[in-house]
Amino acid sequence: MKNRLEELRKMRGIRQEVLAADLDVSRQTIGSLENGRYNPSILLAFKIARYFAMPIEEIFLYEEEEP
Amino acid sequence: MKKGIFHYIITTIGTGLIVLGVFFLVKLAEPKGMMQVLPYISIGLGCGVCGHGIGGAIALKKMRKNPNLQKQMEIEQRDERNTAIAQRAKAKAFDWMLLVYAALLLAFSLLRVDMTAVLLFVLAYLLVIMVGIYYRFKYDNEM
Repeated sequence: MKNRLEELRKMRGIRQEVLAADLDVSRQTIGSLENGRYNPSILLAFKIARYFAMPIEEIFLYEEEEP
Repeated sequence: MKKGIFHYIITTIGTGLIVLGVFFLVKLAEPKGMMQVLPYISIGLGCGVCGHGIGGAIALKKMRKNPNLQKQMEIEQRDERNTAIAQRAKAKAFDWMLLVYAALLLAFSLLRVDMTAVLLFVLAYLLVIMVGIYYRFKYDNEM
């Protein structure tokens, strides 16, 4: 699953450390999310969506796997 | 119980175990039966418990001096990615443990180790598997 976390964070000029503290997660989690190495739980995804005041599907882009 | 007191109690218990182990080693000239290994077990256990206590006490002292560090530690402990990594690593270790247990069990029976020891080993192996099955059913009902 791709996401626009890095783009949105940079657009707002927020540092990874600050975003991590606001979302109550570690900085490494933010880094992994931005790199696409880690998919967040639905709770964290909602938290991120609420933080950026955007619908969840505009931040996390679900791509169906080809059979 | 306050965390600080807990660490001090653990450290005292650990030190006590080390002292007891050394005492038995020095005092018993010709130990027999269980006493041949008990002092070493006591020292080993004591070192582990004592180290855990001292480590915990130092960490707590550092965190009390630095509230930011404490907050960071709490976040690290609650962090969902860290939890997921820990669970995944534990699951992998469990798979490995089953393989290692099975290999050891086979080696023990080929080496003709005492039947009681082998049977205890088999029971422990089965218990671990049964616990796994129990939690599978439990979580299946809960989720």
